[in-house]
Amino acid sequence: MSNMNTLTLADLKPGQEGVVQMINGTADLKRRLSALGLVNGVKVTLGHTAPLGDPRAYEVLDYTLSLRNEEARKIVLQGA
Amino acid sequence: MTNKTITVALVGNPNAGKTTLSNALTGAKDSVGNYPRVTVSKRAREIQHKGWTIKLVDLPGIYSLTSQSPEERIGRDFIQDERPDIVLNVLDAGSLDRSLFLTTQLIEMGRPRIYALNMVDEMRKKGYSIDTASLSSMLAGPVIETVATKKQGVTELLDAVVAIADSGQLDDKPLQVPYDGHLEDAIDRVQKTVAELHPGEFESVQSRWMAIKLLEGDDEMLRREGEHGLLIEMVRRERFDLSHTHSDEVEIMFADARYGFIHGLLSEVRTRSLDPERRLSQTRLLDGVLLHRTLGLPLFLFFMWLMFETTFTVGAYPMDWIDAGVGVFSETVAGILPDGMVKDLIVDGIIAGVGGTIIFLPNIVILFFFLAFFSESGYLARSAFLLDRVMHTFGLHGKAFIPLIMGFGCNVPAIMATRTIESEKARLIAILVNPFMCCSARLPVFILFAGAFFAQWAGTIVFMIYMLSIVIALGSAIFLSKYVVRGGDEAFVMELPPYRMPSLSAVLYHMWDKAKDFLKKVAGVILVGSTVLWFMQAFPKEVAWSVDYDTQFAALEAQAESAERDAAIAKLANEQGREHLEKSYLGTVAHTVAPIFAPLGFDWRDTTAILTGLVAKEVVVASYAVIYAQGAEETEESNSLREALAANMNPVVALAFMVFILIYAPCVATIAVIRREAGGWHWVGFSVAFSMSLAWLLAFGITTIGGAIV
Repeated sequence: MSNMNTLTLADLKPGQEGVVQMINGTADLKRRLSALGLVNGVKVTLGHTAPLGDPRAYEVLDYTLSLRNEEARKIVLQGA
Repeated sequence: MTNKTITVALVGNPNAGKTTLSNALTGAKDSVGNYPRVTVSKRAREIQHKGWTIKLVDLPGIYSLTSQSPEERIGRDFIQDERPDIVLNVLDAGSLDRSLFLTTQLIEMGRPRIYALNMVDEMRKKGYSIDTASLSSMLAGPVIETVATKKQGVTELLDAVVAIADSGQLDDKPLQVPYDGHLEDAIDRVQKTVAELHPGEFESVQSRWMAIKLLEGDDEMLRREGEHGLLIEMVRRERFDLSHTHSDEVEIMFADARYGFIHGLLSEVRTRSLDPERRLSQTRLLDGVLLHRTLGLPLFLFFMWLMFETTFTVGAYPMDWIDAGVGVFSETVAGILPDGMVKDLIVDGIIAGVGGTIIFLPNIVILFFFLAFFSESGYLARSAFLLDRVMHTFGLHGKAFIPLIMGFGCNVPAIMATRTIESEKARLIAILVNPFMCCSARLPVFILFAGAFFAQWAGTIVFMIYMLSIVIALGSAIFLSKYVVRGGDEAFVMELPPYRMPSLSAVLYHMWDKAKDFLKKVAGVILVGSTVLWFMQAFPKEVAWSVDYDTQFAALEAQAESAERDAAIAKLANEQGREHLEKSYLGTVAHTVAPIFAPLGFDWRDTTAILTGLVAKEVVVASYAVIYAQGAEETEESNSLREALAANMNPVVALAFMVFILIYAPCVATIAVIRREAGGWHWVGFSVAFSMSLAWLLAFGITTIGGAIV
């Protein structure tokens, strides 16, 4: 459960960088995200946002990954 | 010359240049390319090199070896069960961290490995350099730098394969990805039990792999070992203990450890000369425009417009040539063959049917030129990114947009284009709603009916039909994703690969592949379909005529030559044609099923047109021409056909008929492609039943409500 105080990937501003602390969600999602390099301690930067605000593109491990905000909210970043 | 054969499995991430490398290796003589996702037949290609026959098996692009997607399962099962002699791991040098995640799992599967460090040119642009020799020793296998698009490093790769084959060292060099102490202990215990349960069956590297997969909670591995209750129970307990002592899930612990291994490895072999100017790469500049929040969508729509405009304007020329060619061919054949059934079958059945379809080949080739260009350049992924929010509202994936729009042209290539959608569920929905998009073959029917019944508003009516087609497609998508197609919504997790200039050979290859698919279909389904339709229209040859045509013809012939006499003869011939059609097998079938359509206000004539439209929607107009005894040369522009129609149907029923034609069952060509792409006749059955019911209900609604108002 995320509350107002936890910072997630969905809270990043364009160009802002965050470090992954934890991923919530189903085991399936965790496996898919970790296969793409979203594991604890990895740096993620917000790049482009699609015209309607969703999905968004993130820079991670030298490549660009797009995620819907629904999933981005499950990725908790290290404290702000 | 010799029978020394070695099997090499090609494995790597999507967008790592696997297909290009594979084509470069084999010289692209017998291209296979993108894996057909549904039919999981693995096609291998053979290469002769230094006295060896190298069997190259192209596995689908994957990020991991879990059993989550069909692609991952294919890749894993192949390495696990068929034990290829060598695994050729293609690494995207520009994003090595992620590429090596798959490698850590390949290492655990225990086959000798060769690494192709592909696209080193892109990597250097990013300011990296790699100590290949150290990487090679740390990964326990030769590392070859390649640039597949320029065929660099291809010979070296083949040499490396042969070197391993010649040395006879087809055993894995022992290498383990190290895990945390508790994980290692658990792996040891599970591995021991696995070895005990399968005595002598596995090498230790295999049982370790199985232990790791079991501990990761891999569904497929748990299912395979399902009969060993003891083992399953043991794994469950180990997973429980591990997640409690570490307050993290076991699969995450494994993933963290793998990335830890990768991180350590790369910090030793990779150096980065950070050049801030270079960081502002080409991809970033392009994305700044193409993914711009206000410019992005208009630009995308412009590209779409350009694609269709080119498809139809440029495509019109070769279409004319084909049309003329088919005409000449048809006349020549008609001139050579003696009059009779064989001639009728070949000229009116086969040449007319196949010729009428093959005319779309230029459209398909041009459309797929654009699609291949978008896909290979990296723009297709961006278009999905731009549109995903809108499409998601309707239970569709961002990538479903292009296939939907293509459906306005022809549903066949459109359904083939859904292959770009990875998620099985999203892809199935995109396939099933596609026939509702009003293809160009249905347009003549609407032009005819709108002209006959709603002359002043013809344009508006046709436009409304198109709007209705979009509404129905999107509405069905919502319905299907909620109630019919099983499986959870898959997360939209997609890589946006760097922009790359597509190589001409890759684009040509995709075009050829699609053209080949299309031609195969024409040769198969369309050929059979048009033969059957012809047969049903032409037989029985002798029917019980209501009037003695022969006598009447003779009487007319006997008259003095005049324009009136010729017109009367033509009229009589058309009359005979109509009666023959009514009494043919097709007419008989139409009379039989007509009661089903009676509530909609359709008679046997409309039913016949509907039935013939199953072969190809274009045929509906031609059928009406024959039915109203107008002669088959009448077109949708013809006034006499319009008048005949208007005299026989009221506008409400006409509207119902147009809506029915828009929605009812896909044509045979589309059915064939649905069967292949959705993977089974049951989806075809569903598609036909669903569209038929929907068409019937809507047409019934229009007839009933309209009838009450008018």
